[in-house]
Amino acid sequence: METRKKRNVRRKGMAAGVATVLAVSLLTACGANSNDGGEASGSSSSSSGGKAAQPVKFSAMVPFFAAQPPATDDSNPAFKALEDKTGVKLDVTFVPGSAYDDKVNVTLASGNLPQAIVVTNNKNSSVINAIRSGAFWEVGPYIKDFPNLQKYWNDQIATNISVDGKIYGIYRERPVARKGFLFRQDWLDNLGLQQPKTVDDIYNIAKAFTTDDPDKNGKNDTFGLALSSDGLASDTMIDLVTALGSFNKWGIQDGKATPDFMTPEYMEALKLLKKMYDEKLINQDFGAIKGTKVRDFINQGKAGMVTGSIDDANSQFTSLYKLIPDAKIGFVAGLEGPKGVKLPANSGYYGEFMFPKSSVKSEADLKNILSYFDKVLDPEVEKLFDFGVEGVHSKVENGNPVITNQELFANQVADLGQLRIAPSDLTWPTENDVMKKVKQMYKEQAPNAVPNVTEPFLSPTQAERGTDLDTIINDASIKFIMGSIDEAGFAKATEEWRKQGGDKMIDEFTQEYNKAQNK
Amino acid sequence: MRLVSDMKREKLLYLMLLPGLLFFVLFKYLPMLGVVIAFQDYQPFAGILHSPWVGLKHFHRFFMDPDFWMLFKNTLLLAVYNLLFFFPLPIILALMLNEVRKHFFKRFVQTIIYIPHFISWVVVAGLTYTMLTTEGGIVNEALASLGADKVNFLLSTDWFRTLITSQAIWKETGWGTIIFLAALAGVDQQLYEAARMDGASRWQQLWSVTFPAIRTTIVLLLILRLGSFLDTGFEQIFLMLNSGNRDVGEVFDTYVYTTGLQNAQFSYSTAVGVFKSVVSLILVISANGLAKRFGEEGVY
Repeated sequence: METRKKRNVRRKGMAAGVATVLAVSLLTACGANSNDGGEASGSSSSSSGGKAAQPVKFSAMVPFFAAQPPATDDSNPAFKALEDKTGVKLDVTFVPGSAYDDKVNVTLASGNLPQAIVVTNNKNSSVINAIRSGAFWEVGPYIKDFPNLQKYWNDQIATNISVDGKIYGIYRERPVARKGFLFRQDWLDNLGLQQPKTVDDIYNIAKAFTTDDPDKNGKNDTFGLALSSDGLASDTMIDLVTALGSFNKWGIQDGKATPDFMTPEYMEALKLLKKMYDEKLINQDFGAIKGTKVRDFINQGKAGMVTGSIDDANSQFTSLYKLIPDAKIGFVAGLEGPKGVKLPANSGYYGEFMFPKSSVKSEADLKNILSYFDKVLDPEVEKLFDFGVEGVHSKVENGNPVITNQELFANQVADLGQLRIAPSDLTWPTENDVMKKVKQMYKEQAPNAVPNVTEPFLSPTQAERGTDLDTIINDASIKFIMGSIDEAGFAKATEEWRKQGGDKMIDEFTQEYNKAQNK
Repeated sequence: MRLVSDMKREKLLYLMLLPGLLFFVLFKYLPMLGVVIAFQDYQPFAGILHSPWVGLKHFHRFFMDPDFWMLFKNTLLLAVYNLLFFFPLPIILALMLNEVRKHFFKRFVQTIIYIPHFISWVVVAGLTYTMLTTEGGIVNEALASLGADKVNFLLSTDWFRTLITSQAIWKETGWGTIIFLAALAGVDQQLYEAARMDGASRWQQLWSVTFPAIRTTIVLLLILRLGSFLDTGFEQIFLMLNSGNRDVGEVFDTYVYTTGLQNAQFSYSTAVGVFKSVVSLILVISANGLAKRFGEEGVY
């Protein structure tokens, strides 16, 4: 009796001991793993370039913006059609748009590069350094060999992507006049209000949307303007600041490059947003919101206005229509101010396709890949990107294509558009009214778009510390709107920005600007 | 000399050790050589061999940076909060569970409380946002219905550390009890019997039998914890970080991410990582020494 009990106890003890040791070693293993995350190993391996056999084959990395990337196998008829029409076998890596720049930096550091890579942060030091150390093909001299590409080529945009006067990629053109305000047209109609034309209108509409029960449900459950922490800098602020007559991020004042936040108009716009925040016309948690989440407020029927690209009206509010079938989205680009109607211009492109020398081995390979980009400009291929495959995504009506399955189109075709370079300038009578109006507005507002004058220039300081410096100003702007700092506090942040590299950036841009003027 | 003769005698055993050693050399020690880029201006396309050497330039920049002391303070405070408020909880919980006599109930509670460990930080951050947002979050709606002002928890510098520590407690306390429960299961039942014979109360049993039995485990885990003292957990903090709370929320881990990955300054961010590792090493060695001085077994 006694001995068996003893043995039992001993065995139990041993098991527990082993368990303890196991668990502890497990813990240390985890700890060790998390430690070596910071060091990047510098081994460079390269994938073999496709030897030019009959069908050209190449790998590409591009961003995507839907919830899921489109399928790139036989289950996706649109992808198959793209391969057939261009005569190319594509091996595409889709990377979520929100993490795309980080992924590009990591991919560059790893040395294991796809043969065509979309680079959106093309002014970042990692990319500039890679270009200067000869990592990418210079494609400028080849453009003239491809008729479609040559027709597509725009010297202004080409200057904007050039590094040391040379072209290292094929830009993906986007409309210049694209930024604006999107709002609930049905709410405006309910309240008998006009579409916004001035900055004051924005305030008044936001106020009415908050206090006058625009959705007529008898409850005080709506607010005027949905705002996010990153959309503030990329859209809302520059929309307001340019309308008030100042720069789009950078301009020239007294012969010197000057950022918009050193102009009084910026403070004016900040004060307006602060007033709106204090009156609860803006979501009180905007500082904690990022990315596409801001549109949820519209899609849930809570907010009446948001800033963004006007073409969002066509694609980003499908869940609103499901929730409220009567809802309508209106939009304006450009607001009237002291200098007339103004809006911030986009750079004219969204990223560029670049071709690493480590994976594209020979000139012949490069030309093969470039021929794909020549072919995607064919009207036939453009139509594929716009309407998918006939009989699957669309049908032909009186000779014009009409999309029949919007959901399938969104899943299979929409993000394939990342593999094209031009936004379609083909217009079809069968296109929906929203897109017709969007395209018309692109054209109408283009002359009113204020460009960022530093767009074509390189500043080493911006390349290296740009993100940090932007954060200083964006944080200060958000804190000012929320009331945790005052005007003096914002001035202090500006001072901080100048000390940490802003002054150097101003000098570098001024020099580049003068150089360009004297040419 | 002894080693060589030992090796000859136990050839097979040493042969069996070889794959393990190889693993550590290949996957742990060789990659560590990568730290040399902290002393270079590393260019990915030039590689380690052709990047210029710059000595301590990056360390100099880091220590001179006005942000250094902010980062140091934020990291340290979060680590201290974690040690004070989180570390003791699994021990207390394990002791409480150990006193539960109904076996089924004990197992049940144990399972329930360590489930949050398997929920990813992204989901935890999402839950936190949904609960605490000023736009219809349940906590703020409750505050409002009580007539109180809404509190902007997510953007407040005052609430940040409390939030981070509470999240860690919610997610990891249950998981942390496992080791202590294992250690408790190993306590000789005869000791309790003897204590009861001597008339010890439950409290006295806890203090004089249970506690000494798991003291070694506690010290061991404390030393290991100090090794990762400055690892505040990148994911969790990064997900909770925003313009409102950056002054108290930016820590070494998030700083390495922004400078290293977003600005692609690989050398500089490696230098920051090396500094962190050196501090951790010092902490482990001194904690281990201290433990030994007080008569406990250290890690080594």
